[in-house]
Amino acid sequence: MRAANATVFVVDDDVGVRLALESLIDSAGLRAVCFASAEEFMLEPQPESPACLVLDVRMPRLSGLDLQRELASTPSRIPIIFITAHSDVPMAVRAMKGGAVEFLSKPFRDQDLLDAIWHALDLDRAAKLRTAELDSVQSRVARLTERQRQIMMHMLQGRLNKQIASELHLSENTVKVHRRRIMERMGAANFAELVRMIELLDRNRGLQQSN
Amino acid sequence: MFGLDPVLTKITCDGFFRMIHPDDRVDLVREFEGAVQVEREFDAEYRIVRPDGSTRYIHGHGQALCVAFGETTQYAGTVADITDQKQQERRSFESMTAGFAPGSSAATMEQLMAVVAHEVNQPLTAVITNAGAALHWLAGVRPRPDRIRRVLLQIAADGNRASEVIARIRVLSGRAEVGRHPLSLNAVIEVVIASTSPAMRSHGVVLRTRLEKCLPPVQGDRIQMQQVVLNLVMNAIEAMTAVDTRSRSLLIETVSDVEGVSVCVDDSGPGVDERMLEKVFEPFVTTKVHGMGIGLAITRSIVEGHGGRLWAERKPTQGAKFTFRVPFAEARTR
Repeated sequence: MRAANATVFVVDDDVGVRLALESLIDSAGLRAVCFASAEEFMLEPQPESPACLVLDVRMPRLSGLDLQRELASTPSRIPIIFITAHSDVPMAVRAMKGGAVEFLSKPFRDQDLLDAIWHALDLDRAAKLRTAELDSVQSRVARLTERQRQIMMHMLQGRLNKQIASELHLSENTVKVHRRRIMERMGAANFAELVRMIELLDRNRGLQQSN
Repeated sequence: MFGLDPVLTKITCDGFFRMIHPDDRVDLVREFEGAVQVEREFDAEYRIVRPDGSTRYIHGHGQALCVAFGETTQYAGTVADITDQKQQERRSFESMTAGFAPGSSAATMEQLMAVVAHEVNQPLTAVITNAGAALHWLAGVRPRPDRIRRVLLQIAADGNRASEVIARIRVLSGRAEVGRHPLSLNAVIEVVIASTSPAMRSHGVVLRTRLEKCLPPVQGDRIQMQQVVLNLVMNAIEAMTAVDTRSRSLLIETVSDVEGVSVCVDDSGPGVDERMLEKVFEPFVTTKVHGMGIGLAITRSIVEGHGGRLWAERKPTQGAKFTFRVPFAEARTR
């Protein structure tokens, strides 16, 4: 089942709606964790496993849109599905611009909500995989020596061993040895794989940060 | 949940009934004994008073398992603390009725209905969502009767919650418990003017009044009459916001005749189309972009509840004129 260890958080101040959402999510084979307010949710640690948030817009004190804004300033990128009893266009636009996955008016079709939840969990799973891969590439780059990193940059610019050797005043053989070590430490089976890793890093964080 | 020490206390049936709130005890005992006698299920909401004096709302559900010599030997069931749910219901009612007190800021029927729609929408959402869950469990490889049962109980609770909202609206809209006192419509109008003048100022509406001096009192409920006038005035202001090419002027007039008092609310807005003059009072008919089309329907029902009439006219120049007429206070006692 693709739901293994996924968590669906629910924040709604209406106890009836909250219980019903818990039942529906449970009946779809997912784990629901419910909160009566945005403040309570913010105290909850975010799981490593895939998760998403079903969030009511109108709540006393911190509203759903406020919570979305708060979350945007934290490392958490949990996908949000908004539910609301009064939908108006500006509110929906604000929510979607803030990166919401879906905006549903109460009462919604249960299947529409479940579809949105599955989609949000898929997004979160993909995002978390990407983050994990990035972390792993970054830690491998960190294990390279200064010299190896230097040589890797030359390699990535498409230079031949001979060119690198003359530029860095090394023997061609030394460059070859470094090259093999780099491939080993980076866990790259071939040059194309190394390029893909560094591109991933470059696109997301920039290689500079890893230095 | 009962605020008792689980080690020291052994709850007996009598001890249990002693914890029940005095106002609920008789009914609960009757329900319980009735259920035991015919071995049917037992289902009740009641309050308990804990040893520390606090009151909690409890939902109890269960069944006598076997009856021997007229005495229940075993009783199995569940109790759930529903205090939070009850408090929420009360809070939402308070938020629903807040703003409709006399002299409070302008709240129209439309706003009231928007709140009501929200309050009914929540339990409806819960009902639909719970039904979805029950269907999922039924369709599963191993159906889960325990879960389905819980969800059905929840559906019943949410249904009751929605119907309580409706019951409260009845009270608000004058089907029950409404005062009938002699009152001055001029005074009612003054209160409404005071609460709507900020809205008039911000929309550039110029108000004129032509209130008959020494207007005889009519028989009615002051808050409901305020709602009627308020709704007509807010409708007029809203209608005139569509007008930019001429001045926005509002005239409120009171006139008495032999049987009663008429109140006219006369605006310089776009007016009401000839074909719409009667239709505007039908529920869910609206000319507004955001309106629910329910304000005038309720307004008319309140006026008719006071033995009066409410109608709309198209003015020869421009704008609309809404008039309602209610009988004198003396007309009833005479």
